[in-house]
Amino acid sequence: MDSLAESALVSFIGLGVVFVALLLLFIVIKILDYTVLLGNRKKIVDQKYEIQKIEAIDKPMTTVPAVVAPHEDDLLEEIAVLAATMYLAMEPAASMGLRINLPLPASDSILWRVQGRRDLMATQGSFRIGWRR
Amino acid sequence: MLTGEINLGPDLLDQIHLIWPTIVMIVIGLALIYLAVSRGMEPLLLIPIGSGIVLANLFSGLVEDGGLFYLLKNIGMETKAFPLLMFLGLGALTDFSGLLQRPYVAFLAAAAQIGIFGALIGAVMLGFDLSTAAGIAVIGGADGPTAIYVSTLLAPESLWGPIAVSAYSYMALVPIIQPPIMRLLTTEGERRVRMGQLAPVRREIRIMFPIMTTLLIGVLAPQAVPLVGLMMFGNLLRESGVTERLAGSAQNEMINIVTILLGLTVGSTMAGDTFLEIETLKVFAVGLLAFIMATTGGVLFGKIIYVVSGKTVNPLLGAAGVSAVPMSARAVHKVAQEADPDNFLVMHAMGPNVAGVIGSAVAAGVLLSLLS
Repeated sequence: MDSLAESALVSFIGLGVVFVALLLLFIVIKILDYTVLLGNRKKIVDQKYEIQKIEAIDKPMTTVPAVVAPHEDDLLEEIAVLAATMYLAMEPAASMGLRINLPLPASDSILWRVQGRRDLMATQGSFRIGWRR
Repeated sequence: MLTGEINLGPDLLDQIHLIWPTIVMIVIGLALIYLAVSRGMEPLLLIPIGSGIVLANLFSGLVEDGGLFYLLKNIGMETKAFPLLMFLGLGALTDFSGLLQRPYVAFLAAAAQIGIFGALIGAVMLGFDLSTAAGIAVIGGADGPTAIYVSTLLAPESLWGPIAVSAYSYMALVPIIQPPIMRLLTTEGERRVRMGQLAPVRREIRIMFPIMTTLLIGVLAPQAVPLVGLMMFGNLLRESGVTERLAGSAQNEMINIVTILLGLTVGSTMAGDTFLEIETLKVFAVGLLAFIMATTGGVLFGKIIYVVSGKTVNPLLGAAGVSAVPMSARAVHKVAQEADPDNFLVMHAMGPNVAGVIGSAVAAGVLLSLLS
């Protein structure tokens, strides 16, 4: 086999191995993410502490993202509004993220994620709140 | 090292004829220092490399048996200790959040490694043997320590310097090389795609990631373990949260010392009689080809992900898969802002950027497995 053909073969094999390696890396990250998420669903006590932290922040609220309020569940909405308040009070480039497992007897909702980040320039940012039933 | 030493006397013309390569090398060393100082081109590496060239060509005793550079070469380059310790420090400096938030960017990094393998074929076409060609092609990984590590294992010593300088020079030229390719391969609409912010990565995942990655690479590409393993060890120091002093040392004192020693040693291998050869020009040509192919591969794969994702992923991110942290992420950000001044892509581009470091290390490991 001449050098050129050999180099083409090595390149083909090499690129294939790199793709497989990074595909497996992708799968490992997904598995890690899922495993950690499952593990954290049981940590209710820790998450209540996070809720207290939100309530401790006393900042005036200017606007609340439409996705948050109004919501059918009063308690859920209250938590969401507090989280939104925290988000709006954040400095640029700050970020917050917490997961809350909170049983809500009234509607059997479980608020599971509040997350936000403000961009360094404060021209972009996101606030997201999710829940599952 | 020296082909001649200045000795004013009756044979001055002969002396000048003999020492002109030395003088040219000193000029090249000074030029690298100038570019680093005045243009900010990879100053942390190019100033030590330029100084190493000047010193070694001024006084050959430094590179002869028993000289400082001779010792450093034996201790740090022959054993590969310097590039590996650089990787440890880089791991301690690297935040893999961008990759952990969007694991699919790993595919962009994989696609960008076509630069290495395309350059391998190009180097063979230019007349290099396969092993040397592989040592040169790793320039396409846009990762200095990886290029140095592989070149010391696969390429002759006379090419260590050209390969290192080529790798760092092209990394510094990323803001010039990449944008035209990005503009050529994407539409303005694609460049305007904004990407939403994602949640911070949980600490448990940050800690598990370097451990799992090391194990994975150990199984799949054992030859890449020295590079990836030490990088992930550095990252574990950073993310574990219980070794702040060690992480701090790796991020600062250790990597700074190694950078100085590595740069000086690489520079000292560049002697006039071996550097001023047509082979050096070929190395630079292959390096440029590698960067162009890597950017092209990354952006084209970015376009595939753009379509598959329902046009929610900016295809420019693919260009950051070439590694060259953080220059290529900045280049992506800049090109995106030309289309939309309010589009901030730099943090999103860091994902494929750091994945590219892993990708190029794996590619290097594969080449070593197949060719060393």
